[in-house]
Amino acid sequence: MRFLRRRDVAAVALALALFGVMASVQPGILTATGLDLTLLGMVPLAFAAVAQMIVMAGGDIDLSLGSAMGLVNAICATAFTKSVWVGVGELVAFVVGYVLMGAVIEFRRLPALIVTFAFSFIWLGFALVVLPTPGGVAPAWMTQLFSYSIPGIPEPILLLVVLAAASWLYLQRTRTGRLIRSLGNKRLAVQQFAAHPFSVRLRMYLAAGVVLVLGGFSLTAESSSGDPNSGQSYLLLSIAAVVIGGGDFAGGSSWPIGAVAGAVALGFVSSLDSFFQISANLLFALQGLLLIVALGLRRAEVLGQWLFVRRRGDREEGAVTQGVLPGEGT
Amino acid sequence: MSRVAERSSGVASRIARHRALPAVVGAIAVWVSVAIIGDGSVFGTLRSGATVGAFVALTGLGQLFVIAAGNGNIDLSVPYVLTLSAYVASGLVNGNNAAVVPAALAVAGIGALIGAVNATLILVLELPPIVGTLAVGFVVETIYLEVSPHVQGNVGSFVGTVATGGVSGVPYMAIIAIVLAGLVSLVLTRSWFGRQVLALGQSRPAAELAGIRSGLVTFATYVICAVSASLTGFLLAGYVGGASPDIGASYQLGSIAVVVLGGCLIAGGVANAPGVLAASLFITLLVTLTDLIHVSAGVQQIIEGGIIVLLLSTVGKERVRVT
Repeated sequence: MRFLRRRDVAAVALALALFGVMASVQPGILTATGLDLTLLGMVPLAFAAVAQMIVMAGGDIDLSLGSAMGLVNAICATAFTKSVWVGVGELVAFVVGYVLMGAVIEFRRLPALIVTFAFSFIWLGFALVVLPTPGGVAPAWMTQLFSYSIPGIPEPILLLVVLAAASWLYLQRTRTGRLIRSLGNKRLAVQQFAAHPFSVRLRMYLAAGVVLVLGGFSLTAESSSGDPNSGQSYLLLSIAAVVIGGGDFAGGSSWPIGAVAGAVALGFVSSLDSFFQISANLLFALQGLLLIVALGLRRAEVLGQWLFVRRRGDREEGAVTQGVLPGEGT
Repeated sequence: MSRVAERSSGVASRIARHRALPAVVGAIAVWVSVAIIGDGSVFGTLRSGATVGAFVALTGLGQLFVIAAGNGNIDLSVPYVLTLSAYVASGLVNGNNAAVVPAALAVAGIGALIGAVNATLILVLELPPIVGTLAVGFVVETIYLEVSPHVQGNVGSFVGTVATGGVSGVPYMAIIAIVLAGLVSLVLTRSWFGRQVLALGQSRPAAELAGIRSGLVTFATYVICAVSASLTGFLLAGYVGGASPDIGASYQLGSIAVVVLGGCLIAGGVANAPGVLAASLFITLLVTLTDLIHVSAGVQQIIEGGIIVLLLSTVGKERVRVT
């Protein structure tokens, strides 16, 4: 029964429960095509969640993630129509830019929140330069890549499982993954591993950048065109998915399976509007509220303790409620 | 500059090390560039820059309180509060100047309420400010997107005059911003409340040991910020001539950028209200300059983001990581 106490079990249960609700309302999604259509929309979010999880494991938060997804989407929908090499070149430049962002954070020891926030405008700017207005076309191979299916297994399921497994292996089983988690946990630990924090943070942003490129691919394949602003909604959702999946802002731990499950759960919530007649505007509010509730539940335990301790007039409450803020580091 | 030469080298080096120096130098440099490139009048550029910059400055002065309180506090809901207020004010005033005062009170009340929600989420549920305020902002965005199709009218000729007019060449908005910056400066450096905010930003444990009720102080900073954002929305609706869904878009980065560029510490504890004014003028004139040289919206974003990153990088380790 030990696995029930794992922090990512709740996310998997939530995803399955929401799937049950959807299936009972609309039995059509239980067919292979139905599953394909329902789950395909969640794949970009799952990639975004994994990218965010990598950065959060290292104790940062990436506020430029939404704009970055939009930039990759814009590049995919424009450069690849000219030549594959132009597209590859631009994507490599993007990943280098992402690593550079990590370098700025580490080199000047700045809060990641602020640096990534400023960079979000740079990514959006480049996206607008590449593609000023929504348009462009997804390269054929990209669409095919994401509609390929092995008979019997809908491709989105395969993608989600592979993504969860690969990110789990990367963070839990490789040396770099361990270093990233120890960076979020304690800088000193990284040095005790005989590694330099600078190189670890660069590798962390490299990994996040590569995952975002793949996420941008899936976003382009799904929408089959480009829109510089298409990624914006993934920022809050990716943070929410990580938090629902068991991650936290303090860094040091990672829950890849939880993050992917959290993304699927949020994906179901986002598609609620097509099942029940809800205005698309309300969906924004729903996602914001869901994030507040997800984070709030995490605090419920501590809050109870706080109320209890406060009643007794114990001054030690400060130690309980004073978390280390993300991005401040030590 | 002549003052520097007259005084001792101590003053010169103090000016050279002043945190707001990049903003002041930047503002002057951009103003000169605009004057050289553009064919408009030199003071006309400054006048329009000061008017538009004043709106940024007002949101920045509110943000200043939140950021000065340190501990990762920051308010990303500013543009959403501003836009909602612009709609509410337009609907309530609807061209009737007599309704300006009640509308201003209503708008300030909405701001205070949203600020209180922000603070509650951060203090009670312990959401990271950057996530909590953004989530609240999304909820507010939904509200104005739902409400906006039903809102007609404008904020009236009186607010319009305040927002666009001026007395003997000096825009009213610039006067408002300068007076408020002076007031904020006084509050932060001289008042009981302001000292508590700065003490909290410098070290929360120390401030709490000194008997400062950190929760109450933080709560107040969020309320101040949201109220300033909502009143700015009211005035901005007067400047633009009505509300639109993207009226507040540039104020999310803008309100934070002017605080950082103005020489305040993003980590809190150091505030500089006059620096916020200089930085507001700087980034506003920078937009004028990028408009003049006909760069696209995308390049403008890159330049703005890039300048923030560059300035953050030059601010350096010691300054950001104040102990």
